[in-house]
Amino acid sequence: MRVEKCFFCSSPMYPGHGIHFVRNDSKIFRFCRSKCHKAFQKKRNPRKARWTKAFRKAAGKELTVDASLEFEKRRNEPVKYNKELWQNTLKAMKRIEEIKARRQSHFIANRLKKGKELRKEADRKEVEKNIHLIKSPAAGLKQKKQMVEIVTERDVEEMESN
Amino acid sequence: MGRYRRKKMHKGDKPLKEKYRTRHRTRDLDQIHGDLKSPDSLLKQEVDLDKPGAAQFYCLTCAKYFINDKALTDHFKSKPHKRRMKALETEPYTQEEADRAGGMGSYVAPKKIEVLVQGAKTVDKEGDEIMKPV
Amino acid sequence: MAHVVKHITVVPSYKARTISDFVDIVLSRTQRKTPTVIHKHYKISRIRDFYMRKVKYTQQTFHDKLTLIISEFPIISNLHPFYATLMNVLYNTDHYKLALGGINKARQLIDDCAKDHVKLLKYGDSLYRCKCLKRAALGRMVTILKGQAKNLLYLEEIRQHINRLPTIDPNTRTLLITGFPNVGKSSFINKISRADVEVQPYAFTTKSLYVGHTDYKYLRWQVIDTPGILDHPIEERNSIEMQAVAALIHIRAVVLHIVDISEQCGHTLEEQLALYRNIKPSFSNRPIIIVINKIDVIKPEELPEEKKKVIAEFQAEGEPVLEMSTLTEEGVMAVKIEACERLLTFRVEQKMKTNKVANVANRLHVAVPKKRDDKERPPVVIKKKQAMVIDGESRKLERDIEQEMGDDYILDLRKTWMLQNEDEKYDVIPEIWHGKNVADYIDPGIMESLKALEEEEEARDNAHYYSMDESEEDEETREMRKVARKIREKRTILTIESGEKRRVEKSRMPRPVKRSRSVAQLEKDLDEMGVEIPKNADSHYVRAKSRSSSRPKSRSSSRPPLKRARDQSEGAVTRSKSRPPRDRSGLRDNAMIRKVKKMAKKAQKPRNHQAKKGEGDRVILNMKPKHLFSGKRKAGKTDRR
Repeated sequence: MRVEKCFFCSSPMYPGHGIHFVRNDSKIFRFCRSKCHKAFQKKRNPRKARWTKAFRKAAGKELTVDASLEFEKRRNEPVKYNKELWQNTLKAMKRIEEIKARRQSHFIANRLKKGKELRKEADRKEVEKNIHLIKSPAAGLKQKKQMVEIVTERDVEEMESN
Repeated sequence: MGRYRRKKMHKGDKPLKEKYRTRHRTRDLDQIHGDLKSPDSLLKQEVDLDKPGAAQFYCLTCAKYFINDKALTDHFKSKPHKRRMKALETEPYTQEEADRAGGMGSYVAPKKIEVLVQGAKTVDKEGDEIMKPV
Repeated sequence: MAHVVKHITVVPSYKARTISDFVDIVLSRTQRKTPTVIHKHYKISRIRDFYMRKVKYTQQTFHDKLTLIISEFPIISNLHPFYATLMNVLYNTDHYKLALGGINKARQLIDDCAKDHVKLLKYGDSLYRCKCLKRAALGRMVTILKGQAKNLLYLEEIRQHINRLPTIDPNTRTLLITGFPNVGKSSFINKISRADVEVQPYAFTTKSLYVGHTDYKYLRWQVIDTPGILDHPIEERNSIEMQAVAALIHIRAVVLHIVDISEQCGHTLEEQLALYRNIKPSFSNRPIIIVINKIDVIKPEELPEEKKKVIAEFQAEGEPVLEMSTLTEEGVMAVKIEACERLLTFRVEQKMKTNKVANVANRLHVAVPKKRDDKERPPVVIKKKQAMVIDGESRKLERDIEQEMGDDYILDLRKTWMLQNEDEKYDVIPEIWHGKNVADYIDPGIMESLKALEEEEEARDNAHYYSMDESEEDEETREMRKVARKIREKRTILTIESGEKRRVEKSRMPRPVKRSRSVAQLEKDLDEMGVEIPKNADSHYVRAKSRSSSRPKSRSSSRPPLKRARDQSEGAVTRSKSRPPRDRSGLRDNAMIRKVKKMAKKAQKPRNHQAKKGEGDRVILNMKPKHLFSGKRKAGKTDRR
């Protein structure tokens, strides 16, 4: 039993799911769902379809080169079963996944930072230039005037009381 | 004495359609990359009267037969052919790449590869036509 | 006859007042097998097609039926001469041929008639005309058939008769028995043929004929007894009987002439001899055997002298004379064997004469190999090689274990696993974890590389690699973002509004007519933008409003009206200026108004559900919704799916 990767979108395919296409040169193509199969039949390029992993990696949307990615691989070396090794591996897998998730989210956050900066700058400019649309320059003038009046009245009263 | 029912109620024969679909399946890009490596078997084909143009005018990149030399050269100037050439410039997509994109190992961006141009035929010393990269 | 002529289907009569009436069969078939609904508004080509199909179909059915009759009735010239003669005797060949010819002609006429009418139908210009043409065509076909009514009846009779004819195979081996009645012919048949069911009487013109079957040398033999035909002299026969005899002559048979030696049959030996001589010429070129029967009553040796002379005459005929007794069964088998042998040799001789034999004989060649030398060459049989024996004791196989344990056996493949630790053989090995293959991670050096990774991670943590952008954005930026969003929203609204204004749908109106601005709107907008508006009436923008409303007042006070107002004194009842609005007119008080409003709303509810304006709104937006009128219908109804 293996969990395979979909040819098109690279998502995991559990046993009993998806469809296999064997081309007449005996090459096998696995598809996780009909969406991927149909896209393949239409000869779409997975690197160009925005929803695939291949696109995200090729376009630099996700972490591509990292030490944490080097653990999961088809090594093609037979290893005899050894309980200790297997247990260690399972433990390591959990840890590796943690680290990988952290690095990936950090990568994405980093990638998004520039956009945040730009948006902030744009907001600043917007407020500077177009504040008149929501706030009249004449707003609060009257209140100011009233304040001045009250202050003067109080002054007068003070003077009178004095 | 002609049809009585004007309207067609049934669309047709599914197995037949599937048969045609299989028969008309065109070559995938990775297969064409393979073809480009050994073009002779396709470019210098025996006369086959069942094929268009007796299989003498074949476009490697588009995996298509043409009826004569003019049609072929016209095709080389066409948009679909150019689009195809452009698409062939990158490495073909493979299951290995899909695996890498899915997290099995680091993802290496596809490399550019040189595409042999069938249209720009040049003649070598012995008088044989050879293909040159772009 | 059944084996010579294949089964003939029933010939329907023209009008028999039964269901199998020829015309009814054909017409009802046309009715059933061709479409029946046609309307005059159909395309004319379709109408023509419709009727042409009917005509052609009827013609085809007639044609098929008649062809069947013609093809199924036997052609006399193709039959075996025995049957040909028989048919002639029974049905009169001329009459038969005429009947079939008539049917053939009728078929041709019907075809022609249909062809003509189809041609005419091509020019039919209305449903009515086409229909008339069809009727005419069918009518003519029926009339043509009517002319054949007698022929059909005759053929049906023949058919029934043919079916009842005996199964005499003229080509097979046959024993034909002749002799006066009561000489023991029937008992001879019963003795040599098998079960008595095989002996069956059937109508043979006026008399009957018996056919039995017997076996000899694993072959089938027919035995034919002909009471009434071959049992009296030729002079006493009528012409039909003569012809019947002629028919029998065509059968290749051995003739057994049975003679009653005891004369108990009522005919003397002389008479029997006379009969024999009478019959004999009919069966020239056939083996004939004279059988003397009833020797249990009297032996030939015991006969008086003159009778012995007759017997001697019989013997002098040149044919073998045998003796038997059907009562004691003495000599019966000898007679049968003799007769059969004679016929066989006769048939072989006949065959040898034809040139077919030469063909076969040429091909036959029996080769006998010549002996090379005198050496003995007995057959050599190689002994079977002994099975290979494996050295040492044989391994215990899974199969052996299975046989030992019987039903308790469970296949265990793990026990032969060679692992580092033997006790781990039966571990449950994890394969999948969170959509990942454990096998992909298996690497003997995984812990080292994990350690390296963790160290790297620690170093990153120490360098605050991950925490650099954790800082919260400050209050000021958040506020700024809010304001910016408000500004953008406002701008979008403004853009949309201005777009609405500028849209060219109807003719442009000058601004005052449009009255797009109002004081209330102005006040509201300014208020939103934070400008406080003084509510006193002497604001400059308030004047316009007050002036417009106060104009009539001021006009009445300052200037005289241009037109004189009507008074009540002029008689006409002036309407009150404060006429209540329509939805309130005639209503007593507020409570009533509310009630009426509620009722109106309620009444409108179902219409609202159907998106109708009111009772008068009967518009159907989509007369033929695509989803109801197209495609194959599965679930649902005509008007809702």
